[in-house]
Amino acid sequence: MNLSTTTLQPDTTPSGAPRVTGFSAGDAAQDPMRNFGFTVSAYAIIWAMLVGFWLLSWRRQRALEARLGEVERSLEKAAPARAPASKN
Amino acid sequence: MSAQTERPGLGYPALVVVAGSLVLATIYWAFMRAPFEMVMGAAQKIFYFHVPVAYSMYLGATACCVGSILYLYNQSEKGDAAARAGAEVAFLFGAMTEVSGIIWARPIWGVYWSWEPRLLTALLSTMVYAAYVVLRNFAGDGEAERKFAAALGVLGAANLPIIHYAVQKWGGNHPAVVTGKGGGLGHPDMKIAFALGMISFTLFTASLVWARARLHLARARIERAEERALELGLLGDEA
Repeated sequence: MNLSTTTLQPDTTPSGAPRVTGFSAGDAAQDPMRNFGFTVSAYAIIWAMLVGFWLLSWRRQRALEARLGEVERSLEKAAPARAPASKN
Repeated sequence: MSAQTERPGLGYPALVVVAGSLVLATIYWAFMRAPFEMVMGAAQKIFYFHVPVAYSMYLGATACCVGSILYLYNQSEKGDAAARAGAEVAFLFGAMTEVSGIIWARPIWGVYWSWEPRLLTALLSTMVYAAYVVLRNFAGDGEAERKFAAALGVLGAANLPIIHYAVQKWGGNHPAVVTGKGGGLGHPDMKIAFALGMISFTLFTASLVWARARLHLARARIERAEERALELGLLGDEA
């Protein structure tokens, strides 16, 4: 099957309208705010996901850096003190 | 070993500030300057974030692929961190693309989901990066797991051009406004809002990949420090 010349699906939406290839500005739309609830929902979910991910990353990073600092400091303090003992 | 943890320079905060400012500018332009679309009305405004978010998935996937290649080539810790960060970001933006697309489809197509080529291939990519994230979080962090994940990261990128060209090669009902041969964006303010969205999400994606890669590098450094502490008998076995 040559996929480059085969159209597997019709270029129409499930409601039968042709595929959109351009957006035209126009005040002629019937009630342009009619789908505003969908727009708000999409934006709210996108931003909730993004902000949630960013906050989780930031908190994790802070906790890890604090833990790393503690481990490195304790190693630095303890290692010289134990080095002579290991020779005995 | 230095007791100092690595301090971020000004580069990262500056990137976040610039990206955040441009995101706010995109919201302003999309809602206050760009006109309503003649047929779709307010629902078309989803476009100004839906496409940049999908593009961000490509960026994350590319970071994952490049990092994976670096890791497979020289077992670079930085390559592994970049790959892991890229996969996480690709999964996040893939999920955001799916959700925003589903919500946009309902008022325009009359259905939430349609089994058409671009939706299907984009969903496939999201699932590949979900698999990568699950693998890295739950299957251990040994060399075998890292190499397996790196192979997944390289192969996963092969689907990106398929997503891009699916709408042209195999038909379907996905809008082809940007790459199609139709009218495109018919108003200058629509073009500005879209351009701002693309630029801001490029920078935002870079900041997220950067942050996550730093996180994974910090975790690797902690594990090395704890191993050394165990060797010196400074930490208990529970460490």
